[in-house]
Order: sequence, then C-alpha cells, then structure tokens
Amino acid sequence: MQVTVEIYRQDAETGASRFDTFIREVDPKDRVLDVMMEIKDQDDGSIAFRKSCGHGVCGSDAMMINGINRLACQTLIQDLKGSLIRIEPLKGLKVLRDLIVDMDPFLASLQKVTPYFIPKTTAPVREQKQSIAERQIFDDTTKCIMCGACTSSCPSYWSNGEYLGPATFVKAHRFIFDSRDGGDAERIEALDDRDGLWRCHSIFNCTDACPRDIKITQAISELKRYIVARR
Amino acid sequence: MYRVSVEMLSWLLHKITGFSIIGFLIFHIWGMAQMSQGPDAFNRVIETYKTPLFRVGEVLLLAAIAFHGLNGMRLILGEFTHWAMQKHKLLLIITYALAFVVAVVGGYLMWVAE
Repeated sequence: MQVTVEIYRQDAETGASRFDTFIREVDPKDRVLDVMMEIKDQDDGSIAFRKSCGHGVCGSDAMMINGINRLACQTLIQDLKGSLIRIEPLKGLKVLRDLIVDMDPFLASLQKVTPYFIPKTTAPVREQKQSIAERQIFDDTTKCIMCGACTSSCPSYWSNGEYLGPATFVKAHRFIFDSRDGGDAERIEALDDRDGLWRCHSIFNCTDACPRDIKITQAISELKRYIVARR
Repeated sequence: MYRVSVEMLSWLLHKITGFSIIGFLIFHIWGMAQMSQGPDAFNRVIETYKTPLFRVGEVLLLAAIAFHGLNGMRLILGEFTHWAMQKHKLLLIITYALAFVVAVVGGYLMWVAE
C-alpha cells in the first residue's frame, strides 16, 4: 500500500521548523520505524531521530505518531488506519533537532523520587523474602522502560515543566509498594508537593500512550490514596 | 496537535464549565446588586432575564453545572476507589448520559415554566 509520511523537521541551530513529506510503498505489516529507516536510507539521510534496540525494550524511539505518543518500533502501519502518517517529536520537551528532544528534564524529574531500592535494614544478613501477593501489588509498574511517552502526553506537564509527571510516579509506585523497600519518607516528600501528585487530573493520556500498557492513572490514584491515608 | 480523547475532552470541558460558572457567579452578584436599587430596578432586571438570550443562557448554565458536578463526582470516585479507576470508561458514559438527561429534562422544564 502507498502511504504519505510527514516528518517534523527542525533545524538545530536556527530552530526553524517544517514538515517534509515522503510518499512510499509499504507493507501494512511494516513498522513505522522500518519506514523511517528506509526514508533515512534512501531519501534523506539528514533526518534525525533516536532508535536503539528496535524491539520496544529500550524506549528510545518514543514519538508522536498521528497525534498519540507511541514507540515507532511497536507501531504497525496497519494499526494507524489510514494512509497518512504524521510523525512529530514528543511534546513538552525541548526539541534539539528534528525528532530528538532534550530528555534531561524528564530524567531529572525521575531522580527526585530516588528511583532505586533502599533496603529497610542497613545490612541484610540473608535474602529478603517476598510473597507472590506482595510482588503483585507493584508488578505493573516494574514494566516501565522510561521512554517518556506518558509524561510528554500529559497536559499538566505541557503547562508546567516542573511537574514531576506520570513516569516519575510510576517509578515511585514501583518502590513505595515494594514490601522490602524502606525509602518511603524521601519519595513521599517529593510526591506530596505542589509540583507532585496533586497536579494529576486523571486525564488518562498517560495510560493511553504507555507502550507497556501500564495502568498509570490507576497507579497514581493508588499513590494518592497511600499518601492521604498516612496523614 | 495531540489527539483529544473522551477523557481529555472531559478535562477540557471541566475547566471551561468551571470558569463559566465562576463567571456566572460574578455576574449573578452584580445582577443582585442591580435588583436591590428598588422596585423599578428589580422589575427591569427581571424583564431582562425573561428575554430569549437569558433563558437560553439559563439552560446552558444548568447543563454546565450538571456536567461539572457529575464529572467532579467521577474524578473524586477515581481518586478514592480502585473500582472507579477500573471502570472509568463506564463512569464516563454514565457522567455524560446523566448530564445530558439533567440538561435536557431540566432545560425543558425551565423553558416551559413561566
């Protein structure tokens, strides 16, 4: 089938932007990333975008495809329902060039909730046991690949870059609800803040955008209840 | 331009109706102040409120309040219960359906009333 691919271009130095249009013959089962690689290979080698593993694991190629954030490597042409493919960079993050955005603010936000395991005891003498039920509580949020599709789909984040954003809450959820973890205090200090959890208005854009199908809005509401119940 | 889903539309409508209701309250207080000027002023204001423009406005106000109130209840339920988060699609449909019924039935009753 024939598709029209519109790719957002932005000059790194001047910041001038435009859309470049390419018409290509593709297989409906091709992925958007395949088509982009082909265009870069055969039509215009100057198109800049991130990709790494190409299999939905590394989270490098999150971009806005036909108005929704998705991974280019997970999106099939046939899933897009139509012959127009419009590819734009993630919203809410500064565009450095073409489809490449500055992920630094996103990663800095993740750091605020100490995104690593903090043991309850200083020196565990043996392995820390966890039941299946205890693991199940935060199973969903362990799947995050930190692609940024959720945070950059959030209207609250678009209007306020200081807002921690859904990805940070997913990370916080993963550790706060871990029965072995003891780092609640510092995480909650960051979450229970004017730029924290309470700017979430349950818009569900994050849940829709997540390529790992994490129920993000649900995880955020669990965190909200947890923090309110602690008071 | 990011695709507007029903959830995102609800968030937008919630903001728009919220600001509209605040706007109405300010206007309402101003109207009450006008009415307090005496019997003639009172009658004049009431006559203005009987014009088609204001009657349509009243029905729109009811629709805005119905949606804002019901959508607010949906959001509160989602914040407080796991169940509401899992059934959020169903709750969205109920919100819109109830708001529609309240606006149409209430609007009709307001329209036919003298």
